[in-house]
Amino acid sequence: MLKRRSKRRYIAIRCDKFNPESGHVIYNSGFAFLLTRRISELFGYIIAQKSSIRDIGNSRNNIFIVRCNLNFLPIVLSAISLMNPPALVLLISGTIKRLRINLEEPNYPPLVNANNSQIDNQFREFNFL
Amino acid sequence: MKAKGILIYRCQRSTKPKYPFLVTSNKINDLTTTSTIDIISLNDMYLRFEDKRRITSGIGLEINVSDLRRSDGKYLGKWIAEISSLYKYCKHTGIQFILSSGATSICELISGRCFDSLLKTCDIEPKSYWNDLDTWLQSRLLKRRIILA
Repeated sequence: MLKRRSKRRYIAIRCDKFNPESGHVIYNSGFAFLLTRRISELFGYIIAQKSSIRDIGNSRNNIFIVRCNLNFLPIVLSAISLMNPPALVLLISGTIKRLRINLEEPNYPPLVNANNSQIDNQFREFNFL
Repeated sequence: MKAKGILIYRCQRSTKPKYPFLVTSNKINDLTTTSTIDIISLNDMYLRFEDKRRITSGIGLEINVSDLRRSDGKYLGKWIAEISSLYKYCKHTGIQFILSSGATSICELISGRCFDSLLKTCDIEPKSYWNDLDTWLQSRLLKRRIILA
């Protein structure tokens, strides 16, 4: 019987308030450790180990890339949304190459600017600002 | 009034509607028979019996994830267990259960896929949750004669 490698998913996460501890380098930012700890708190140590979360690197200062087992992706995603400091999932991809391409060239309009201007305009009309 | 766009504002008090809005409060005592409150935000998950009786059918009961993530793993697990029982109670009594990100910055936002995973963790079927929320929002805004275009 063939022993097949389990499928993985690469997740790009934005976390502004995470300060890597001293000693951690680009490929070991400590973010995966923080996430694994949260998963083990919520779902147990076995699930945390099986989800095999690894640091892949941080593309910018506040964007971290982690890898996890596909079978445990829902658990990882729900743990990310319950993390402290808060973290936002930007992209999920099957390959690191595609993830990096999508991160560099987003095929969607910048959400922040569009929403901010819309909210600003409407609030100005509403006399809240 | 026909409202354009998909933004619905949260206000502390009722004003003349130019844009779709919902009135929110974090005090259950504000709920009276004449109040126009649409959503009650819960800071504490453990509702007293008297408080439960005050929240009538049709009102939204909101829990912020931003409050949850500040607590440690032990309490977070307890809260998640409470959410699933609260959701069942809300379903039974006709109260709309709302799980909100409570975001004040971009990083505190929760993406759609994460939200669905979180709902599943809390034993809530995402599809029925979103359908119920949509129906509730439409009915709540229709009361103020606002139709989402």
